[in-house]
Amino acid sequence: MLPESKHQSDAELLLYLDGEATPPAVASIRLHLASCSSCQTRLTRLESLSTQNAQLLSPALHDPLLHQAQAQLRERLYQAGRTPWYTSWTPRHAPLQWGLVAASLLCVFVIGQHAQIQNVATLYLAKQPRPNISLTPGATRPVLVEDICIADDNDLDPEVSPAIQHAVLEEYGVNDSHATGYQIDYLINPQLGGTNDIRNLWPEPYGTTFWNAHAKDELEGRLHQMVCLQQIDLASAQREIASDWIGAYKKYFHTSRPL
Amino acid sequence: MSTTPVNSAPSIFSSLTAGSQSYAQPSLEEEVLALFATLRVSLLRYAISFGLSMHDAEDLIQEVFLALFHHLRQDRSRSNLRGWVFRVTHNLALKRRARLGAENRLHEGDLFTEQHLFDATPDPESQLLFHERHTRLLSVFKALPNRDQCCLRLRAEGLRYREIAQVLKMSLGSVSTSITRSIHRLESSDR
Repeated sequence: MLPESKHQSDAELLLYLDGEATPPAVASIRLHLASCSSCQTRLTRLESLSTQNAQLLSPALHDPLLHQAQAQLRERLYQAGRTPWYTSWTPRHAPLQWGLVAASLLCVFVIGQHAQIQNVATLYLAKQPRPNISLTPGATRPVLVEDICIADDNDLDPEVSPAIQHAVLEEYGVNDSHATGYQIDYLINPQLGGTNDIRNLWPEPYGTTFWNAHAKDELEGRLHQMVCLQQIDLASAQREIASDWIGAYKKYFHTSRPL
Repeated sequence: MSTTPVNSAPSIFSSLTAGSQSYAQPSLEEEVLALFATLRVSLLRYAISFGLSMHDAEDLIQEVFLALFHHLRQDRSRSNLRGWVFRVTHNLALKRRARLGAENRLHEGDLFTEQHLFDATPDPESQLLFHERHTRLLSVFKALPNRDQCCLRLRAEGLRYREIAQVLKMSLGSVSTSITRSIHRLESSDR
């Protein structure tokens, strides 16, 4: 039997186990392990402890909220992407940013003498054509595919009451005077199991962009057809249209712009 | 027909620990979203270990990836993005813990109480054995110094020693020493 000092230390074995040992050390440890049952046993023991430790601290998890969280992040990235990077605050850019702030204030002051401050609706227009995921995450009712597919997708969405329409517009900061440019639309359309819950309704523009209500109607029809032909399951269709309907359009129509 | 997962951007994970390299780029948003899908659960576990609620941890992880987006947008270093993301999570979690602690809003739970949020249903007998052993290990783990706990957690999430060193701002040798010491302590509870 080898003297204790000739065996590999636990630190060395752990480095080996974790793939952190240098190539010469790996070669040396392998050579040693080949002829030392004591170190082999010790390595097995350390491996077992490491596995237990991993199970303790990093259990295998199923993550059902991934798509929702991803949709939320997508929305935030989209909003952030619309802002020039140099407007994000970092000390390195502080002088530039203070200059921009001062210039902006001056502009607002001058322009304010001659014109009304831009309406919130205009700001919302700039964010088109996606719904705000925090206001409109989508809402569905329990429904069977058979029920959905009995009727054709005729795009006849149940009418939304004026009170709810007003609430949706208000939620999005759109004045009633600008409301004619929008359709209060179901994010997940009823033909795919969407409800008239306010969380499933948003003001969708008709003509400010090519990604408008007409394009979304086309997607709704396509997804309804695919669900009924069992080319996609209902839950996936609901998720895709709720999380990123433009992405879904591109994917299922194989195009980067509406047809 | 199954749908294509959102996180199907190509091979970003292969570049996580590598140095700067160029490859056929998806959009920056897609790149960040792909990394988010890969690391979200690990980061949630890590953030929760600071005493944050699931909701706070979720919010924090969103902040981290928004910060990553700005970081990449400014053409800053792409070297070891996984280490970068964990380091930012670590720093933000410390700040948030301090703030929530001052407001007495720190979450009392730990990984075990959080685990049920995700866990599949295990069979009861093995669950009991598993639970007993892990309760023992957990009590020893909780008695470890904070830094040693962090080292073990990050190692369990698959971080390399140099990444752990980067996150916790310590030397490689200290990481190795910390892990060896902690494993010895855990072993003593498992005899």
